[in-house]
Amino acid sequence: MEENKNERNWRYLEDLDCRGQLSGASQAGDAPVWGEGIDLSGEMAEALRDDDVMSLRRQISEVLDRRAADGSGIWDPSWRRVAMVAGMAFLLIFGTMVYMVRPPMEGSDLFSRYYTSYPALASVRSGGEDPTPLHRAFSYYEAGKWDAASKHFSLAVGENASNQVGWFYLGLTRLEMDRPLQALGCFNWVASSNDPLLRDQASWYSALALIKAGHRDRAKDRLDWMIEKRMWPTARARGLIKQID
Amino acid sequence: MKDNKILNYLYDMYFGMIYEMVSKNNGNQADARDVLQEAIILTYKKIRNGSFELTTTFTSYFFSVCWNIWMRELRNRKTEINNLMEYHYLEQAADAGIIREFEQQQKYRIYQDHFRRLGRECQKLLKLFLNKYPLKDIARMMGHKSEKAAKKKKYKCKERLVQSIKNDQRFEDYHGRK
Repeated sequence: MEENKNERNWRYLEDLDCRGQLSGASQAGDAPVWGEGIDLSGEMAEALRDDDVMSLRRQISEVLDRRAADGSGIWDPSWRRVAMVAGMAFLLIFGTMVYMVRPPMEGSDLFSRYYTSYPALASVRSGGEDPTPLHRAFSYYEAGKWDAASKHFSLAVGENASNQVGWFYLGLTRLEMDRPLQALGCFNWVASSNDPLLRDQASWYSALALIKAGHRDRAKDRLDWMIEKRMWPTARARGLIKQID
Repeated sequence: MKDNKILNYLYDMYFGMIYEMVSKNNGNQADARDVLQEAIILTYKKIRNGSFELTTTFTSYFFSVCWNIWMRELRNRKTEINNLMEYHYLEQAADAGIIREFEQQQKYRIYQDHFRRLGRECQKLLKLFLNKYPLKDIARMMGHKSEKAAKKKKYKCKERLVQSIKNDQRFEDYHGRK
């Protein structure tokens, strides 16, 4: 194919030549053979007398030299191609490095970054001499004994199903125990209640539970809803949405 | 053309295009530079002798002169041509005589290049001779003892020039072809 193309190009040049456009003198059979009897007359004399052209040629050379030297010359197309490839390679390497240094956060990473333990409620920390399951649960909660805390929070909400505090902390202990879907049920219960005490917090932790469970889209919806309702951790919700995106 | 402004302008305007065209057809930066130089000189000579006639834009004219020069050069080199058709439209933009003028200019260039390589004394002596100064005056101006000495010196300078020209590969390329 390339060969044909080249042949075609040559035919084209031959055609130009026939028409005298490439070598005008070639058809003049009586033209003198150039170079024969080279002497200080005729063409040579004319050429050497042409001081204008000789100085112009020198002047052009100087300008071209200077332009090439000061770097204001045109960029070599081959270098342009090299630079483009190098640029793309750089972007690829840079992107990979960024990805390696800061890869899109996994759900568990996002959770770890945004999750903070919620302190026990001071009003129910101490149960005195006859502690209720809720009092005991908080003792275990503060001690980080999540199994025991979970068990006693379950007892507390079993005794009183409308105990929003019990449900909320049960959710937190289950999050600590890496049971996000169970935690989600608890937080949803609190968030949907009419009690405003822990509603915002429950919504926030429910979003975190969704992230930990791998439901990023649902978490994002939850956070959007919180922002719309101007709930408590709005700034953090916005930050978390950016990370999810 | 004492002012470099025009040359710089021509360089800014056309060198990029010329380089693009030349580099697509087996040429390099030095070739593009040569093409630009020859095109400027051709155009200058046409203006000087009053035969410069613009029937299209100067850009079209100038670029087509460059294209024709490069086609001529490729023909000399017998190199492969890949993108010739891309510039086909330029064939007629410059007047047909431009190639003949270019070829003559190339011959002149060889003479001039080698003349410039001669020593200052030889250059001066040959110039005086070419300008038809009497040998007597030449001998006096050049500080030679006699006309005979000046004539001998002139002969040596001329021989050096002729030999130098004959050793030029470009001379070989042209010699005997036309």
